[in-house]
Amino acid sequence: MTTIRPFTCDDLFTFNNVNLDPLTETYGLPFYLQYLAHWPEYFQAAESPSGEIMGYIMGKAEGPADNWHGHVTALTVAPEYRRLGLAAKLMSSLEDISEKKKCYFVDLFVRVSNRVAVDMYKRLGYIVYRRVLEYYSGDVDEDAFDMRKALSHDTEKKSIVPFTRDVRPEELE
Amino acid sequence: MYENAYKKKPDSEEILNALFMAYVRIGNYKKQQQVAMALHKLRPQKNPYYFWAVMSIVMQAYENENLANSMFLPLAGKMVEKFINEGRLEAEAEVRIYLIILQSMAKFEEALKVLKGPLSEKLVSEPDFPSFLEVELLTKLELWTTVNTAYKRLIESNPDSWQCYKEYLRSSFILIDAHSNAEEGVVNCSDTAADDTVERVVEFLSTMVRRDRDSRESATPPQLPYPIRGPYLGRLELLRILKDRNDVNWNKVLGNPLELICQYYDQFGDKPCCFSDLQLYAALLSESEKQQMITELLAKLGIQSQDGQIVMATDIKVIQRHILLIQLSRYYGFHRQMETDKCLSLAEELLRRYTDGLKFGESLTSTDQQYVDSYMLLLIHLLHDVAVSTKNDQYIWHALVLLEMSLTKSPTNSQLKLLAIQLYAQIGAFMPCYNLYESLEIKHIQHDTLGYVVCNHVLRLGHLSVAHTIFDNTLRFFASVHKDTSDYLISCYKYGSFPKVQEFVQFRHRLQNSLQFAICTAEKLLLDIISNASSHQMTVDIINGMDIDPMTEQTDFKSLCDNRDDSIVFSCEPNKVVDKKELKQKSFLEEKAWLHIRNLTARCLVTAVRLGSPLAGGTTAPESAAIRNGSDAKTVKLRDVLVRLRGELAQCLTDSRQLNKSQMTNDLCLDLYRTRLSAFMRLDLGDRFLIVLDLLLSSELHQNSQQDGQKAASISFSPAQKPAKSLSSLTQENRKPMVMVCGGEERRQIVVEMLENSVLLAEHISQVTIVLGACHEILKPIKASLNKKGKKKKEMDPVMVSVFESYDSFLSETLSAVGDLQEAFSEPLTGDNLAFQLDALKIENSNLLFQHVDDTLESSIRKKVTASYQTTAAEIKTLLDRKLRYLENLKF
Repeated sequence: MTTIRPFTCDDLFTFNNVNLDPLTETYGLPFYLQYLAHWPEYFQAAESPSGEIMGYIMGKAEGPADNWHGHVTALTVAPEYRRLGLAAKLMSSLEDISEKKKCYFVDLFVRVSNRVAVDMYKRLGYIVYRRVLEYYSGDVDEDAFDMRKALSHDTEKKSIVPFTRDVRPEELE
Repeated sequence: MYENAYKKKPDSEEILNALFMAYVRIGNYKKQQQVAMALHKLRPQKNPYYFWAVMSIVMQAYENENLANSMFLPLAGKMVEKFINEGRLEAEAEVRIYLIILQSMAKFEEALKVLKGPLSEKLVSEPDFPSFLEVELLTKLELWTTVNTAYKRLIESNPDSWQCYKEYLRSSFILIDAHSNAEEGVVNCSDTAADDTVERVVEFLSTMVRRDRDSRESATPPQLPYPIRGPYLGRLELLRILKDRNDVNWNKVLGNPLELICQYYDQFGDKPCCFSDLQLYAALLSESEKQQMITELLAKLGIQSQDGQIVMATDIKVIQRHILLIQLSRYYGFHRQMETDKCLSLAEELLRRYTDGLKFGESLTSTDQQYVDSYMLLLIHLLHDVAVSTKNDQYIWHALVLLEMSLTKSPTNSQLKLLAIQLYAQIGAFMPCYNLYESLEIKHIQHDTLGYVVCNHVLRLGHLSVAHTIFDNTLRFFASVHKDTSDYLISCYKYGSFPKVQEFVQFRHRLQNSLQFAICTAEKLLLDIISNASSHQMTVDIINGMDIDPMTEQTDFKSLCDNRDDSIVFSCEPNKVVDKKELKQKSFLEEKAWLHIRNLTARCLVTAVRLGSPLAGGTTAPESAAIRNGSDAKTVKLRDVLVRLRGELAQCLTDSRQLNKSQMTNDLCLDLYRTRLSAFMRLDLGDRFLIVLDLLLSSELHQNSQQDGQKAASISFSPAQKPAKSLSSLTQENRKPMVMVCGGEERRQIVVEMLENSVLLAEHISQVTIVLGACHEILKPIKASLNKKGKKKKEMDPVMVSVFESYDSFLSETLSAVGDLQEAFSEPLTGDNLAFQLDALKIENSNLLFQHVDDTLESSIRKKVTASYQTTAAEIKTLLDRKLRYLENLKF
């Protein structure tokens, strides 16, 4: 049982039960404010009956011409609210918005080691478009999968023909 | 700057743009509006400029409530309507701003018309927005039958949306009430589709439940991989409302509530969120039903054999259900009623299940939590209960050992870490707290919301250098708040995200008035004033280097915002014992009171030092009349300031004494921690500080009277009462070992007050030293001139004699207190002594709970704790050493 609603500034004060998760990064204020100012419709929170933030999704729409696409910047769900289909719900709302904006596809990056997430995205219809080498920096750099799902505007499904080779982060446009 | 550029080149779009942004930065809405209109005149084809002006007017309306409805909002509305009529409205943002204006003016019908009219076609970016706004507007218009049917439709298309159930039920009951209030036969709207009777609500919710069941049973594969909780929670919510309304049939309309809750458990009991769901509906069951439910469901799980032996669970889902039942029984208050033995045997059972259950998590990665971590959390709470009821800290110690062990299995579980932080803080060991806190990677806005986790402990336990780090990190975040928020406020205008404009402004306000910000500012200031100086000249230099105006209070107490996020600790504590809201409110009041005392203390210290510091040219050397007069004026003014601040501080202490009576001074709650106010009050440190301020004020008074050859004016305040206990008796009482054996040989207690009191006393002594330093500056020339006059004591004003006497006695008392405190810190806190003391915390018990503890783990904890105590001692000793040198120089 969930209320999906726009993420607001005040949620930054109470999203800690979600962000204390080790794989969820807490960014500086400008990062969140930039998304809230530019793509407010792409920033959604899921709230529990007790008023707690269960998870949130942030994204944006960008790209020139037929590369116009929705992008998932962050998607996270607090540990106690996992396995309820919440991530799928948040993803589908982002896809709906991208459809309305006449995007051709939705893409996202995910750690190759994050098996649970990769499998979930596959279940939701995403394919591995390409591998981005050493995309995540850390003690040991880690590769990312660039995953994509075509939207209805991409009638020929051109956007999800897998790229032929791995790329480096600096090659990403 | 841009204003000048604009004057030179009034037709530059670029400059006007920059000027507009500059006004956004400083929040001058009126100027924003003017510049936006100038831009619009310059480029009439560009719609955004026009709407910048509209939004700027709307912001003026928010700022000025009086003129909002009479002037600003109608003006903004007319401006938009002009464009609509001319067919010039282009963007979604422009429609949104119109909707904002109409809603602010309570023109809900007009807003509805917009939603139904051609303009709504522009509302595309949020698919759900129009339908939700529509019901919201209908709600405002109190068209309850329409609202009700609208929410029904929304639930049907969105059966897991909590907001919709809540609003649906609310509107249903408004309709139900309207029925019963109306005279019979007058109102009859049962021909509408709205649910205006309890029966119809029951019917609708039952249909939703049926639909959910059918959709999962008939479809293969099921449409939804997860059952949705909505309809089931909706039914429980209905019962809760009926019960709150004292409806006689509340427990009949949907059958037995116990059964419903058990059904819910059957369906969702293996989800971790089930606890927070059922927590909301605890009141639906009687005490005996709760007992019955837990007993029956535990038996049904089949993990206890007939003769009460433990049978290990065979899969994670069973474990999750078992955890839920234990959590619920804790929430229902059953743990609090248990005897110590029962608590310990339950804890033992949980430990065994925890240990066994680790096998299910062998393939987990280091960033995952173990499935059985919740067992550990529950058992730590049980041990804490026992520690409190038996007043024996051995259980806390043991809980820490178990927690550290579980952290090796689940190194990123924040709940385990938060509990460990609280327990380490309780036994006064700050370093391990801080290391755990750092491992949570707290940053950016979390400094504001989560800083409280360590902030109240770091000074309490005297870790002054880490305190510096924490304050610096926190203040660095706040330093860029204005810039960060302004930059994106500008973006809101650029991208037409008008609904966010006010949100950003309020967000900035909340950050700038943050309690945590104010606390860190005050504590850092105090720390900077007292920590480094070993002579009065150093203090003078430090204060001179600060840009502070002691005349004005930095904190706007009325606007202060409590941004602490106290929801991070998962809690199954019964509401009756810990009402979180009330606790937070109390804690906020206490924090404010303590902050006020701290702010005033800092301001008094700054004023005192300035009052005493030799002014340019010195007071003894002959100087021109002009400068004399000037400097006198300044002294007089400073004196008035200090008298006023002293009065405020005295008042603040009186208020706090009142508050302190009702404050949470026990450490029972594993939650927001108390401030140091209670200990400060117990030691009468506030009054002691007032007395030394009085000494300074009377020295200064007599200095003036001596110079002017007049009789001293009467002191313009009532001097503070001398506390019953002398400073030296306080410092001597404080000489205790860290671990005490109590109750025969049975209990051990860690004497954290010893640390806390010593830190407070050391801090107090440092403050007193500074004021004495200021006194010394004032008395020095008098003493010198007296000596010149040839030691004729007869000539000396008897009042002056008493001033010197009390100065001397103050100085010697402070000096001996320093010595006593240093001794208190030396002996019990040497490495060997501490190790020996901490060794006594081990529990010798045949209970499995206390066996199998890894000795290396325990000794590493002992080392950490020892090192932390010694850091406290070393930091305080360094502080005291400096003050000793400082004080030695203040002797006449």
